[in-house]
Amino acid sequence: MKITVKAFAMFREVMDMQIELEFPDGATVRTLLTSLTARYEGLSEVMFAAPDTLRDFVNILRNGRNIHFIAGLDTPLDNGDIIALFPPAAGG
Amino acid sequence: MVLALQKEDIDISALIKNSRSTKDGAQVVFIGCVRDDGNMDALEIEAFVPVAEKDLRDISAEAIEKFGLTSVDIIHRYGRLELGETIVVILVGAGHRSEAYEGSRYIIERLKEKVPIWKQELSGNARGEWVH
Repeated sequence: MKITVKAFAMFREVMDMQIELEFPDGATVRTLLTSLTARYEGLSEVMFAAPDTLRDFVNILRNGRNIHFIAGLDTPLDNGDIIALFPPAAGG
Repeated sequence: MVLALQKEDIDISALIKNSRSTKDGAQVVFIGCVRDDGNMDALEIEAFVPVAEKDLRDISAEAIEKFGLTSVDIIHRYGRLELGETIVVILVGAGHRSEAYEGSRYIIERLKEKVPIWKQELSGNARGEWVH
């Protein structure tokens, strides 16, 4: 399945702004992050406080919905999903 | 009602004129602008536009229900903004000033808390820290 990842603010300084990746069926957000941190040096430090523990400020949306309200890192992925990675809002 | 993200400057006078109705006893305009903190000469504002637009619609609906507002307009800019430029305009209409002031304050606080928009300080050709 094909997954599109979009990175914003500080995340796009350590990875591409947008990338399309292929995953086998059954992949989760955890699978995706493992792939991304292997691909982009420096992303792991920005994203994780400890192995398997995201830093508090990291927001991950699957098709516009925060994975915190789905199944966290175990949130399943479907073909065509758009995953967004970004820090806390700072508008206004 | 206008709920939008845009690069262009905002025509605040037109917004006020178009939004006002005979139900309004008060309109409150909040304008956020680029402050000179002494160590930068512009801001780069980035937004996740489709999600931000949905969040503006949600926040507007919340404020209307909570404060009985007659109208809400929110326009937030993105891209490079120079010192003194307008970043965001929030215009609310209400029957009375109390609801208008409270609704306006509620919207800007929710916007800062929720809407995926980020600021990076720029100084010359150098990019600084992301502001949180």
